[in-house]
Amino acid sequence: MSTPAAPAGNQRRYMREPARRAFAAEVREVRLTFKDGEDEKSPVYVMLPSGIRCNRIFFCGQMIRKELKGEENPFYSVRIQDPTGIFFVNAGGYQPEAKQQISRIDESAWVAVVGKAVARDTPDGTTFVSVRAESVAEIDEDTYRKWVDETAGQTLDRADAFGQTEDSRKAHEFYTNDPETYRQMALHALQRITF
Amino acid sequence: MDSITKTAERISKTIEERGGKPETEKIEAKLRLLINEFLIPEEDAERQVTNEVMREQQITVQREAEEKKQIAELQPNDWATIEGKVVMVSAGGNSSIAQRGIIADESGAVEFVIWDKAQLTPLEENAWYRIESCVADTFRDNLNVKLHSGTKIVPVPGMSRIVSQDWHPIAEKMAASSGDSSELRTIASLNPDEWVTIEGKVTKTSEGGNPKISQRGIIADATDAIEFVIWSKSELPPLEEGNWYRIESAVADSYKEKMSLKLHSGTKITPISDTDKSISPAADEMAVTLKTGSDSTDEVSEIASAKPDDWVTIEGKIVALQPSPSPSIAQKGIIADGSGAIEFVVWEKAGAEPLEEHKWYKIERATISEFRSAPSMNVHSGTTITPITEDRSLMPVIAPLADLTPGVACVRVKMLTNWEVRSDRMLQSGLVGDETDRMKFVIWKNRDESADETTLEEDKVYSIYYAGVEEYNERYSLNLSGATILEEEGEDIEIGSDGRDETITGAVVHMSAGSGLIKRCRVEGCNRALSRQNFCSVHEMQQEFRYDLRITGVVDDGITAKNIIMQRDAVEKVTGLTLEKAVEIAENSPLGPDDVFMQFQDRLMGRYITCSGPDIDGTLLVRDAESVNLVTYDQGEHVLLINRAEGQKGGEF
Repeated sequence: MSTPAAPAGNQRRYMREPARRAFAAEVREVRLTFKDGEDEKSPVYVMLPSGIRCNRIFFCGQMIRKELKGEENPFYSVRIQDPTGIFFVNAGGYQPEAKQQISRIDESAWVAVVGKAVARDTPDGTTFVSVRAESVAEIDEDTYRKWVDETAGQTLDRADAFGQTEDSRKAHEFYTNDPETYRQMALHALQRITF
Repeated sequence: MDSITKTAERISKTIEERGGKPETEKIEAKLRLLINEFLIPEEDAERQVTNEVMREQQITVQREAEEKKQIAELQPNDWATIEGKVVMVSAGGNSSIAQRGIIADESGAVEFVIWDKAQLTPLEENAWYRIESCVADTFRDNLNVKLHSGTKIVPVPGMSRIVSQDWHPIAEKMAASSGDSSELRTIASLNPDEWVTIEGKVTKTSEGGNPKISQRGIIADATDAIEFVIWSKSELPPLEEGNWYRIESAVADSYKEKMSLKLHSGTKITPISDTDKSISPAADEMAVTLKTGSDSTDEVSEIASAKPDDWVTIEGKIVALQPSPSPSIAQKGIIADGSGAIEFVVWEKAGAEPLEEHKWYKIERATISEFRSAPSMNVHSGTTITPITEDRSLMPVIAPLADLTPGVACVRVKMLTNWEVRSDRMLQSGLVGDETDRMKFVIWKNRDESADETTLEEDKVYSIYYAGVEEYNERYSLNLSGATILEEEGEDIEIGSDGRDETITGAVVHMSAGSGLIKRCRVEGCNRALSRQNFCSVHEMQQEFRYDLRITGVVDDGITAKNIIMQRDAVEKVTGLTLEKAVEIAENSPLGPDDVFMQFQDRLMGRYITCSGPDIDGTLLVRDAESVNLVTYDQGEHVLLINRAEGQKGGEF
């Protein structure tokens, strides 16, 4: 005889979305965006091709370009390079903390970024992924290496679990991809920082 | 503002929007009564009070149903008007449903259900209808629309449009489930909320134990046994022990993870000849636990063993009496025996002699209900109360914090930390601990100003008798209002964390505004953080204060984001800034204490740390320098990762 699980409490505790670790080369491939739940406040996710939903993301790299764009509502557009590619990061009026932090950081500095991944369809039919920064901090190269190791580890974890989690099955259905790609990507990243 | 006040305001707003004149106070009082005393879930109470007020004020509901909706747009709980073609009809499948079927428009298709009570004309296959004010609902993840007595069905003759073909899968699902109530099922296969037909042997019966239930018992087949309940209203004949029956259209139900089978007026019972089939041994097991109406309640049982839905007879001492919260309640308080204590309520209707504090009573045939997961004893008109004249001694049972369950308990604890009180009605809140655990506590302000209010002082040990153990979000806390609090002078307790310290290693992804150099209230035993204007939430403006360092933020390992609070020693270690230095910066910098906050950010944001400590209410408390470390790049780990990435490259060969 089956008994149902205890009903979920109607006052669900608010859980902060974890900041996922992924390399720029993987984030660049994102094309699937979805919302979990009907609620206006339900979080919006992008599906990382290695098989995990991602609302917030944390990454480190070198700031290779910093531009102040927009006349009425100026915002910063910066590019952060990791061992696999480039993250596109924006910080505007709604991200005052990040905007102010970027203003104090020089181009070519090592930085750590926390933000929300946003996928946008471009007029030519492709998807462009950028990160709306919540916080940008200047770090040292040691922290950057630590991030690369951590991100490689978590990318390998996802490749290992590919096909066994619901998110990774969804990702596979959508991207029809091979987890081997991400193992190679992790290895490549690790080799780039070996000295 | 608590949730009931908020609900009351929401109801008032609704009434106002519908043109009524709400009296928020009255609404709130009514809500409190329903929720606190009648234990009605908040959502139901909200609906009930809303409806009541609307009736009183003669507001008729203008549903926003007039606008026609596409079927594909329907959402659960919508009141809607839809127009479509009935592509399939079928019989109800049980007595309360007159008709089921599928209606489709261009956008999609949906199952519809016509309640028998609605007394609507059945719909015809292949005809078009406009259905006004039906309700969209979900049942086992499938959307359907319910046609009830308030629904208007308007035939739309001569309509012919191509409708969505989405209805075929729905039809298949319906076909699969329509057999539900007539197909013979095994007891082991039953699921909650199903209408089912079973055959089995009644192995035990008893009286209902309450007026709504005419009989309870156990019925078993070869696969399993289940408790059955016959509603008095159903007017079904009682089942006989030892006989086999076929029971059609009963409802499988689950209450507190226990399944039962409800026999109602639509259920058909047919005796069948004694088959030779064996029955599941589960029947014997269940027979033991079957509540046997009145006979077991005469025995005196221990308070600690009382469970919700039990009928009990106990002997206990009234250890506390509380003001009655509502006219329907004559008395409210706590009764204790040698095994433990329980809250009780004497209903006005019970007509009982008032109970006196500190006296012993025998209470026969009370019922146990559950309120916010804590058991509570109800003295109703069927309960007999006899005073016990002999003077008995009562040794309160001190329970370790780690063993507490919702209800009433006595504890011996050390006061650890004061927390900021977040409500005007709260006198004190903080953390206490004993050898086994730590727990949050709350003392509410007394409504009666004259009564003296005891608060706890940090680092002192107290014996606390008959405190409330409450559950919120799966965490327990102690409510000390009304409890007897005795200080144990000169005592100390070694606080245990029971090995439950948590560790998280990750990046600092957020630092909240409460971080940095803060000022604390100097009033003895307070220590709360002052606002920038030196305002203490309890002791108001303070000239005197003490500086402290604190970081509240989030450490994130990519899988979970964990809130942390870091205390001074830990902060000094990871930031490299001492309190003295921080004070100096704050006093000399044009930015004041903000300068300290920014330096903390510069030193920690985006960096990796590992920290550990007890998890309190979802926040990791990092107390000392030993509990936190900066994490840096590790060449050894790097090599291992490379090996791992390379090693698995050709792993499939």
